[in-house]
Amino acid sequence: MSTAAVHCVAPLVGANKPKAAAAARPAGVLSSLNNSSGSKKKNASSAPSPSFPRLIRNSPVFATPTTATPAVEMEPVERVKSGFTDFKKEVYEKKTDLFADLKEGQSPKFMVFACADSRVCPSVVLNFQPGEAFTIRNIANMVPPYDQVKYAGVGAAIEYAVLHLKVENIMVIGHSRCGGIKGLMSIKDDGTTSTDFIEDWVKICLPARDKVKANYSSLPFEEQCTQCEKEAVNVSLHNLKTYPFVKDAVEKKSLKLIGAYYDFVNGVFETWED
Amino acid sequence: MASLLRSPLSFAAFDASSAEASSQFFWKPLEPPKIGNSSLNLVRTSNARLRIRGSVEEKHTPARKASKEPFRLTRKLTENERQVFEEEGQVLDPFQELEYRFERFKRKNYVENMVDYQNLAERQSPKFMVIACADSRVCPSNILGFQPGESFTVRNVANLVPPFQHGASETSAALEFAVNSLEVENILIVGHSRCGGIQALMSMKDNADSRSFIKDWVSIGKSARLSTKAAAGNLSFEMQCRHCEKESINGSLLNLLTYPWIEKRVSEGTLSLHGGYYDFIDCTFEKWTLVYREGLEGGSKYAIKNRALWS
Repeated sequence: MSTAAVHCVAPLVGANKPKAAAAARPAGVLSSLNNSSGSKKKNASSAPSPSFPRLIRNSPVFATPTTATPAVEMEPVERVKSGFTDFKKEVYEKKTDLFADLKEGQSPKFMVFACADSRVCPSVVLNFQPGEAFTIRNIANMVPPYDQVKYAGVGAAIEYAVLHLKVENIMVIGHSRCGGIKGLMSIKDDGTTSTDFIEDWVKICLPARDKVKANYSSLPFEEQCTQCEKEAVNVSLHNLKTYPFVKDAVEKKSLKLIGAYYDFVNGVFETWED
Repeated sequence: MASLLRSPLSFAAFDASSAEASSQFFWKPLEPPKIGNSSLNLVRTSNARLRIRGSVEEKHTPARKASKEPFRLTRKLTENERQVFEEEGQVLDPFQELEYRFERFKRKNYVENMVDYQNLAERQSPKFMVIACADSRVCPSNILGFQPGESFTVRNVANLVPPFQHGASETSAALEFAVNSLEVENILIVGHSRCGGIQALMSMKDNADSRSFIKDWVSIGKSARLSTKAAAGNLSFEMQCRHCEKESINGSLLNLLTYPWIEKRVSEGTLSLHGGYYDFIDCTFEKWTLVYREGLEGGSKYAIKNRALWS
């Protein structure tokens, strides 16, 4: 059995687990299982959140069929610990050469911008191994335009990747059902905001929203969001080129810009070159 | 067979400065595999604008679509072809590689867990928010085994959290979403060994001449640098960096508490803040939890509990 199948892993819960199947709640699988476990209650916050934090994970961490092992409930720290010990045993100790090289330095060929959404980690979906992709994750996988004052964080990452690591590809991956894009599409036309930071951040891709509202006004809101998710990737690719070191590298053809879209509703992954 | 399939892209281990390494990576694009009766039409939209599904703006061939049915014959073909190429010492072009990997993910993970993915498509409710470094060696999904749906993950240079007063940043927006909308129950900041960002912080000279994005960003960790110089100034540069890597995690944890909605939830007990340090030199993971006692003044307001080292 391939060891790196760790990344294409066992399910969150067994597919034949009755609790999961019975969950009619709008909340996701994990919290539905938490609620049914009936453990000690916390003081309730406004949302009907599960009482005691638990995570579900199957073990072992191989891509075995879901019927093989029943789900195991775990405390958060226990969950993290078991994830680490599995990684150490199944990956680190089996790829000693790779990790010996990586101790000295990294030379990834990819820089990836992905959303912070828990469902779209590029290491899982595209199976990036340690050392392959310098990955930035933020709300709605956005790249702001060059701005020394406001966006030093993203600027630092691009600067490091292009000038120091000398990556050869920058890929921006959008995805379906993106909360950040939905937030962008929901911003009031008069520009008033209700959040401290989120709306300011997603406004980076206002050009995408404007384009979608102009060209797809007849579509229902959800489909407009889908179009915006893809269009925002293009806006980010365009913004990348406002960084002088990116523009130079693209012109010299030592850097390629790639757009991508992961649709987890239908199981599709699209890519395109800028 | 397994080793052939799962050998990481060979370039990863090469020294960046090696010209031979970079030439090995790019290959002539391969012919897309011919697959008989499948619903797949293969192509990549190169040098093209955004493809809107259903519309025909420019001449193009349809993007590849994966159906929900598990692959049968197609799987064999792809793996065999890959094996052939590996044997001949060829490396796949990046798009082909990504396409192969996605198919593999789809086969081994997505289709197997269809029910879960259908639920996840409706909503995510991760219990964790993780703030980790963008370093290619430290993806939390790899080292801590997070599966889709489990962890809302932000990655930036040197896993730094700016204070609330710093104003707009991508990290602040992500914090707001995770805490107020997703209502995560744990925030875990994961630092790591040999961090380039921390090294830049420790190497920074105070002259204002050479400005860079990196310097501007890592300056968030200035207090960690100061306390490192004070506590470990007599040690080697590498040891100082190591000390600073951990100090900066604590600095970031304290910065988390400058966000009013975070401080409120921590006081109420609905949110826990944790630090983690991944040392890939000897493969250990140290973790600890921040204790925050609101209302107390001075040093006893903050403490560490449940420190553990996993090795």
